[in-house]
Amino acid sequence: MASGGGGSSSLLWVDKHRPTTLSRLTLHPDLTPRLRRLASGGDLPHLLFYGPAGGGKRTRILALLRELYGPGVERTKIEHRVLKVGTPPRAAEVTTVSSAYHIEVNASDAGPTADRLVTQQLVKEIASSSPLSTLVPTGGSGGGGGGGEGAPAGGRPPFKVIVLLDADLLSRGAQAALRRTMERYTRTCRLVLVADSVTKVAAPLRSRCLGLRVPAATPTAVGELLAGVARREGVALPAAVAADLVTAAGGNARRAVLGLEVAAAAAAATGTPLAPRHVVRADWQVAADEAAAQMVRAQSPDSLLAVRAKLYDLLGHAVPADVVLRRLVAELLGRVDQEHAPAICLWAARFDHRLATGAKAVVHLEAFAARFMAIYKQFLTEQAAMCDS
Amino acid sequence: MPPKGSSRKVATIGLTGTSSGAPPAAKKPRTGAPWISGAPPRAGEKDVPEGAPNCLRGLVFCLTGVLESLYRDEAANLCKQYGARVVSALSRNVTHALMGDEPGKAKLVKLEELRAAGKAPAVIDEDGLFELLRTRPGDGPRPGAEPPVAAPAVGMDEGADEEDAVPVPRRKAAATAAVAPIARPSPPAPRPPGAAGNSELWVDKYRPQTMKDLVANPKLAKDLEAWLSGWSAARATERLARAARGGGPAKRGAPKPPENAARAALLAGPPGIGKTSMAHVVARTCGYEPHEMNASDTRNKAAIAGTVADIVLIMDEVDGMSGGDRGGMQELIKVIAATQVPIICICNDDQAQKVRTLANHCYKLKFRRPMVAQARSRLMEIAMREGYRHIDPQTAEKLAESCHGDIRAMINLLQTWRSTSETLSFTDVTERMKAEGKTRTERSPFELFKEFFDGRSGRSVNDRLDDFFLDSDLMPLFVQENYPNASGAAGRPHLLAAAADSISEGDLVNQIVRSEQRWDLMPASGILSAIRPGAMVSGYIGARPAFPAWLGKYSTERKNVRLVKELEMRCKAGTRCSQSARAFRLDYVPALTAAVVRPLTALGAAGIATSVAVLDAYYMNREDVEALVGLCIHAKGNSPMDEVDAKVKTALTRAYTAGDHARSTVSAAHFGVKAVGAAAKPTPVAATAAEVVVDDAEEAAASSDADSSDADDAAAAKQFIKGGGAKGARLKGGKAKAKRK
Repeated sequence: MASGGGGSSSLLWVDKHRPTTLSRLTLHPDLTPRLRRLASGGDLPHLLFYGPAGGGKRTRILALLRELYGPGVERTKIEHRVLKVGTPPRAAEVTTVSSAYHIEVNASDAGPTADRLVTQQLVKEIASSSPLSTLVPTGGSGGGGGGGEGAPAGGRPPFKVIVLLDADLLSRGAQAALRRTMERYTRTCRLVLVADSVTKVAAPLRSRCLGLRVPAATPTAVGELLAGVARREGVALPAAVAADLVTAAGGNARRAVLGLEVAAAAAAATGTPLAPRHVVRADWQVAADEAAAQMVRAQSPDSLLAVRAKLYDLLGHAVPADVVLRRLVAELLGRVDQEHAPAICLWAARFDHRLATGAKAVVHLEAFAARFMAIYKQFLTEQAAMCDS
Repeated sequence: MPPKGSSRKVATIGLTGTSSGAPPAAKKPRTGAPWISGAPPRAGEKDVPEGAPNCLRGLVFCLTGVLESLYRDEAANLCKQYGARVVSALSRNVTHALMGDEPGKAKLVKLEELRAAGKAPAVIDEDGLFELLRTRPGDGPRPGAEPPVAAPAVGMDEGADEEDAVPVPRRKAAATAAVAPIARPSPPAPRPPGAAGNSELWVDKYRPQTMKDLVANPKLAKDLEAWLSGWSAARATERLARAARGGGPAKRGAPKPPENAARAALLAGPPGIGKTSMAHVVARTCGYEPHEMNASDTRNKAAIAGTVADIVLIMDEVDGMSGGDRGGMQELIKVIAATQVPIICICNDDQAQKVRTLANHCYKLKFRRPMVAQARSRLMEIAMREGYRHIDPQTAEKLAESCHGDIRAMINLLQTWRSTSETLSFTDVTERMKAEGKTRTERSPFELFKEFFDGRSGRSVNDRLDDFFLDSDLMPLFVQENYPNASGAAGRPHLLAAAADSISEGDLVNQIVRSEQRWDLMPASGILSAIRPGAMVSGYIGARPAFPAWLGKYSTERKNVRLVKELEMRCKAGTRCSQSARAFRLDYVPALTAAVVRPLTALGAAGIATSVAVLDAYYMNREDVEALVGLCIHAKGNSPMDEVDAKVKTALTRAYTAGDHARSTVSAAHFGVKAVGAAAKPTPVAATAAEVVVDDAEEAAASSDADSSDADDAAAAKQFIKGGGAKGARLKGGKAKAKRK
C-alpha cells in the first residue's frame, strides 16, 4: 500500500498527498502566483481566505506560511488554553496550534458568548509581543536547526501570523473585538481569517483584509486530482467511478479524495476492481436522504414524527443543522416536480436564517419538513382532483 | 363513564385531581372519544334557563351521548349546581338518564335491564333538563322520592327560603345521610352561624385524633400500625438471627428479612394529605409518644446523633434536609441502622435524589391523594360544625376536586371563606377557585400543557400565559414534543406546518430573551411557542403525552459535538492541515471509521496491524475506535463494529496495549468529555527538527523523489510522539513505530 512518497503510509490519502508548498498546489492555478507574489513581497496585508469547504483554503494558507517562513512553520505544537477574563472571571477554553512563527486559533470553539473573550485576550496577547524570529539573525544557523536551509532568501518577515479559523462562526461581539486589534498591532502581526462564507464576516473586518476567494474546485480539476492520487496509490480508476466521485463531492476536493479511498478500500476488500457500486454515500448523507424520502412518501403527523426522529439522529451525531437542511433541499429537489423548486428554496432560505439565529435546531428543521409536507400534500390533492374530473 | 367523564370534564375547566383518586381504568382514553366527536351540534345556541336553587336536589343523573347544545361537562356541572348528583353508570338509584345522540351501547343495554326490572329512570333529553330547571321548585324531594312532576314555578323562591331556614342540625343530618359519614366520637355541638371568628386554625382543630378520623389511605394506616406494633418483635428477631450467625453481618444470599421489619418507615406522598397526622395518630395508638423533628429544627449531624429517648421519632420533611443540614441524611441513615426507637420519616417525593438512599433503609409507604368522596364527607362535617349554613355534597366534592386532594388546603379554604360568608354554593366554589387561581399550581406540566390544545375551554390568552409561566422552559418543550399528536393536526398538513412555524418563531424570540436578557419578550415567546401552536392544532392529545425528547437529544448532541472537537484536535497532528470540526465530522469521520474498521471486518486478525497503524497516524487510541463508530449514524444493531468478530476486537485491544503509541497533548478532559478508560497522561515531547529529520528511516527513500519538504512533513507528523514504555528519553519516534510492528 505504501507505494506513495509520503513518510507515513498509514495516513489517509487526502493527508498523505496534501501539497505543502506553493509549487505543488494543483487546484486554482490562477491563485497560486498571487500567493507567491504576496509571500515574496516581504510584507503581507491581513488576509481573508473565503470559499466553500474543501476548496483548499487552509492548504493554501499553510503553503503560504511555508513560503514565508520555511519548513520551520510545520513544527507545531498543540496547546489547550484556559483563559480567565473579566470580573467575575469567566473561563474561555480554546485549543491552539502554533509554531515559532504562527498560531492557529479557532475562537469559535469557545462558544458564542466566550469567543469575544478569546479574540480580546488571546489574540491581543499574541499580537502585542514581537515574534522571536526577529530577535535572531536570519539565515545561517538561525532558527534552531533543520528549518534553516529552507528559509526564504530575504530573511523571515518581522511579524507573526495569527490564523483565525472559522471567522464566519464568530459572534458579532468577537468580530467587533478584532477590529482594534487588527489596526493596533500591525507592526508585529498579521491576521489571516478563514471563512466559509464571506457574508458572515462583518464588513469592517472585510475592509481591513485582502480578500482571497478560494472557490470550489471545478469538476475537471477534481477529476485530475483524483487521477493523480489514484496513480500515486497504484489504483486503477475507471472514468465512471471518477465521474461519480466528482459529482458526489460537488467541488469539495477533500470529500472527493476521501470518497476515493473509501471506495478503493471497499473494492480491495472484495477483491474486485473499483466500480461505481463501491462509491458510497457518507452515513449522514444516507440519513438525510432517508428523511427527505420520508417527507415525499407521506405527509401526516406520523410521518412528521418519523422525520423528527431522523433529524434528532442527525443532530445527535454532531451533523451541523445547516448541512442537514442543505442536503434535505438537494434531495427534495431531486425527488419532486420542478414546479415546487421555488417554494422549497424560499422556505429553505427562511429556515436557514432561523437556524442561524435560533437555538433549537430541530425545531426549525422540523418546521421546514412540515412546510414542505403541506405544500406537497396540497399539490397531490389538487392533482388527484384534476385526475378525477 | 363519569369516573372518566367527570375527571376529564373537570380538567377542562382548569381542575384536575380526581385522576389520582379514580380507579386506573378511568385514565384510559375512550374509544371514539366524545372529546373529539362530542361537540354538540348547536353548542351554546340555547339559553340555559335559571332554576330555583337546589331545584334538582335529590335527583341522580346519568349522562350519555352528545347533547344538543351543551357539552357534557357543562351539563354535568349544571346538574350539580342545582343540587343533583351525577353518576357514571346507570343503576337503580339513577332517577334521570340524560340522553343525547349516539348514547353509549352499554348504557342502552343497562337501561333495558332496568326497565325489565321496573326500575328504569326517566329518560330525558336536554330540553327535558331545561324543563326540569324551569319547573321544579327549589329544594325538591329527598333521594328515592318519585321522579318529579311538573310543578308551577310560582312560589319557588318562597320554598327555597323556607328550606334555608331549616335549622342547621337537621340539615347536617340530612346531608350526612346522603353520603357515607365518618363518625366522630362525641362531635361538638354545631356553632351558631356567624361564630367563625376563632383564632385557631381549623386544620389543627380538626387534626385527626384517632385512626377513624383518618380520611385517606386506610390501608397504609393499618400497615403502619402493624409495622409499629411489630417493631420491638422485629428487633428481637433480628437479635436472634444475629446471635445465630455469631454476631457477624448478614451473609450474602441469606433470606432477606421481610420489608416491614425495617427499623424506619418512610411515608411519601404529596403535601396536605395527612402523612404527619397519620404518623402521630398511629404512634399514639400503639402507645408511643411521637417526637417530631421537621425542617424548622436544625438537623445537622450533631442534632440527629444526639436524639435519644423511648419514643417514636418522626422526621418530617426529610427531603427538605439540605444546606445547613449537611451530612444530616448520612447521619440519619446511620442512626436508623442503630436506632433503639422506631423512626418514621416523611417526605413528599421518595424518588428524589436526596431521599433515594434513605428509602433503601426504610419500610416504604406510598400515600395516595384521598378520593373525592372520602374528602367530601370530612369537609361537610367540618363545614357544618363551623357554622356554614348550608353546604351540599356536590359543593364539597367540587372543593375537594379543586384542591387536588390536598385536605389541608381544602380546610384552609373553608376557613378563609367562612369569614366572609356563611353559605357556600357550587357556583361559589367554582368562582372562588377561579379567582384564587389555586388549582393550577399543583398540577404537573404533563397535565398542564394539554390546556394549550384545549380549544373550547374558553380560557383567555392571559390565563394560558399564566399556565405557560408556571414553567416557561418546559411548557414549550412539551408542546413541541406533542403537537403532531393533537387530533386537530390529523389530516391538516397546513395547520401542522403553521404550528411548526410558530414554534420555530418562538425559538427565535426565546433566543433573544436569553441572549439579550430581554425578559419583557417572554410573553411573546410563550404565545409563539406554546399558546399559538396549541390553538392551531387544538384537539385531543393522547392519554399518555410524551416527555420532551429534546432534553436528552440535546445533551447527546452537545456530548458528540465536543467529542468531534476533541478528535479533530487530536488528529490535527496527523492531518497536518487543520480543518474545521464540521469538515472533520462530515468527511473525516466516515472515512476514518472505514479505514480503521474495514481491515478488521475484511481481514479479521490479520487486519489489526493496519488498523493500529491508522490509529497511530492520527494520534488516536483504542477507545477512539468506539468513539468514531459511535459518531457515525447507523441503524440500531447495524454498527460496523458489530461485524467485527469479538475475538478480533480483544486481539485489537491487546495489540494496541502491547505497542508504543503516539499521543496528542489534547485530552478528552479539555472538551468536557468524560475520558473513556484509563488513558495515560499525555506529555508533550517536542522533538527537535534535527533529530526527527535525521532519525526518520523513511526519509532516505522519500528524499529521492521529493524535496526536503517530505522530511519536514514527517517531522510535523511526529511532533507529539511520546514513548509508551518507560524509556522517557526516547527521541526517535520512527523507531518506536518500527518496534511496535
